Amino acid sequence: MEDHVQPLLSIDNLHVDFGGVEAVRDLSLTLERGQTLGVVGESGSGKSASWLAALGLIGTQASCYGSVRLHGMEILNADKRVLTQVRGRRIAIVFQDPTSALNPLRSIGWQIKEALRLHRGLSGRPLQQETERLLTRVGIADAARRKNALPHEMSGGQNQRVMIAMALAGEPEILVADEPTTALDSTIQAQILDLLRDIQRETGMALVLISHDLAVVSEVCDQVAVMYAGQIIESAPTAQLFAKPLHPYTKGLLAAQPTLDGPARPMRPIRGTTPRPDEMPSGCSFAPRCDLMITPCRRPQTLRHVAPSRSVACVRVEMEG
Amino acid sequence: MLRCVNLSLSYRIPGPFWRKSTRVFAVNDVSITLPPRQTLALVGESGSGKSTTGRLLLGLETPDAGYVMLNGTRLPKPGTRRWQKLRKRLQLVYQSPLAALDARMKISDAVREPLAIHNIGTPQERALKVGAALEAVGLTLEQSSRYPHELSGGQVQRAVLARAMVTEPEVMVCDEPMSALDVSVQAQVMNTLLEMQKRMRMAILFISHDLRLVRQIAHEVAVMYLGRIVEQGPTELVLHRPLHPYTRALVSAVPVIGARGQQRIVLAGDPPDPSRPPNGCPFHPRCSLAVDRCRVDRPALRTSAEGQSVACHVAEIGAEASR
Repeated sequence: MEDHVQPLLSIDNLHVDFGGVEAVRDLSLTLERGQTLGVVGESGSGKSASWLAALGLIGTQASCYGSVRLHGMEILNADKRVLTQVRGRRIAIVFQDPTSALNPLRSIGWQIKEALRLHRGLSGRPLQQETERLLTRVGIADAARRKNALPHEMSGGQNQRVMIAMALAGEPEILVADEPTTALDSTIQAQILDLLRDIQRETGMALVLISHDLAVVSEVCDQVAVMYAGQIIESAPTAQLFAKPLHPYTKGLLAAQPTLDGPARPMRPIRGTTPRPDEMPSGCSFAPRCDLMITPCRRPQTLRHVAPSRSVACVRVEMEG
Repeated sequence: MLRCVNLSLSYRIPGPFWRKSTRVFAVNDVSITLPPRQTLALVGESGSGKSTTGRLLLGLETPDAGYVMLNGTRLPKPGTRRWQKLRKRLQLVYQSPLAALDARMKISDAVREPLAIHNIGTPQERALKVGAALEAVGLTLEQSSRYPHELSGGQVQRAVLARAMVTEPEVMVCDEPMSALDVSVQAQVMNTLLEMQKRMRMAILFISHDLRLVRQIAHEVAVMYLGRIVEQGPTELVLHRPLHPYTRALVSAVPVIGARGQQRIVLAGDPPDPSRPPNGCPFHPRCSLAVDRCRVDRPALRTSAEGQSVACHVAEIGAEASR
């Protein structure tokens, strides 16, 4: 019964620590069924680290604190047995570089079959049929023949399609795509984004799209979380975020972004650079680069709700209402 | 002014012993003019030959056919003394800033090095030039006494720009100079580059796959596909009124903020294998407008009255420029 009120996935106060250096600080968010969440941030913002940590994929050098619950079940630092049930089956992940994520010595069909056997226990004819169906679904023509190809015989875009097919093999409730198009050409990027969007609509799974490109997430996601220096500093429905960004960093990011549409305008840089994780300012992490800094900014800022589905970590926004 | 005429470069790829080797054209019959103070952007997918064109222009590769002229004289063979003398006037900036600098050399020494190599100025004059270059890219004295790994990516890329500008080059080839940088830092480096160009009458060849950045800096855009230029013209025309179906697809593929679910021209398939280029128009297998003629007859560049050139049988260019 409780299942109806519980979010699909909830992350509470997640911290990821690499030997005293915090890569992710106090991150909380919820993901509902069928939601598409974009996570944007620059390099080192913790956008990938937070999701790798949530799925237990971050390695042993990192310590993770807090809580990550799938349907109320704790999965952070969970037993390998529990994680094996979750990963691939209920939460699947697609990485940036498909060619290094695939086994170079096995055909793409073999690799998809492996996932189908493992997650869905298929064998025999149904296994063959489902493999070909998945390959066709992700846009690989002539699947019956192409499933025998090795990864190096495919292009980067096709290999990313294979990765998506493998991710879909477990019929996951959540697909986490970590910079899935960054290594691809722009025309191929457009194809893969369209594919992710279509598949998400068709299957109703939740999609988490991690990207450094605001425009990429804006085309696919309902909700966007902006990360800076290990924290979510603003989260809002996509249209609202771009129509009226609240956090000075989000505003700065939008002003720095070159555009193809609209009148040409100079790119306005954000002065300074992202703080290094070992030299994090004690207060608001963006304060040293912020033109609106005031005394209260010397205290750490946390994410606060300002409207339905909107939250922001900025004392100025709170003061000005 | 740098100009190249009908440049081609091919590589031989040896096949298995029972088959003849194949010839792969990286650059095919490319002509480009780079006037002072102008920026020409070369765009296209990976493997389209844009980086190789940049290297040919600097004389870092020797073309099979065609030639490069700098201010009316042919560029000498690379490696020769005459070529080395010219090199200070032609500089290259590429994608990975850390790989471009010696990890064991302080930033200020790395910026000074080209002056020593080309024997420019007395030690005092060199110090002045280095100081001016570092100031122009916005690096402090303290930052320039550090080693590359001690600076952020944006700072290192600005140091690379300082090193490239210290010899006051006439031409700078920037090969994906922004792709390793974060958005908030890209704008800093981009503005630095624009500032340098204004100050030094420098011509820039800006090689990039990012049309949004290209729009910010380029006066002209040339679109490459399989080693050939398929469209070229003033930036606003090429990006906002593209004529070639390939350029249209490239423009349409650019993600736009707030354009959810927009219709775009999605290109079928991947870029073709350069070792087996299609007959006729190289783009026809992916083109939705292809007609019979496109499969047999390769279109030549036609130029419109507004100075936009396109190599396509189907594109309507209005009144053609008289030659």
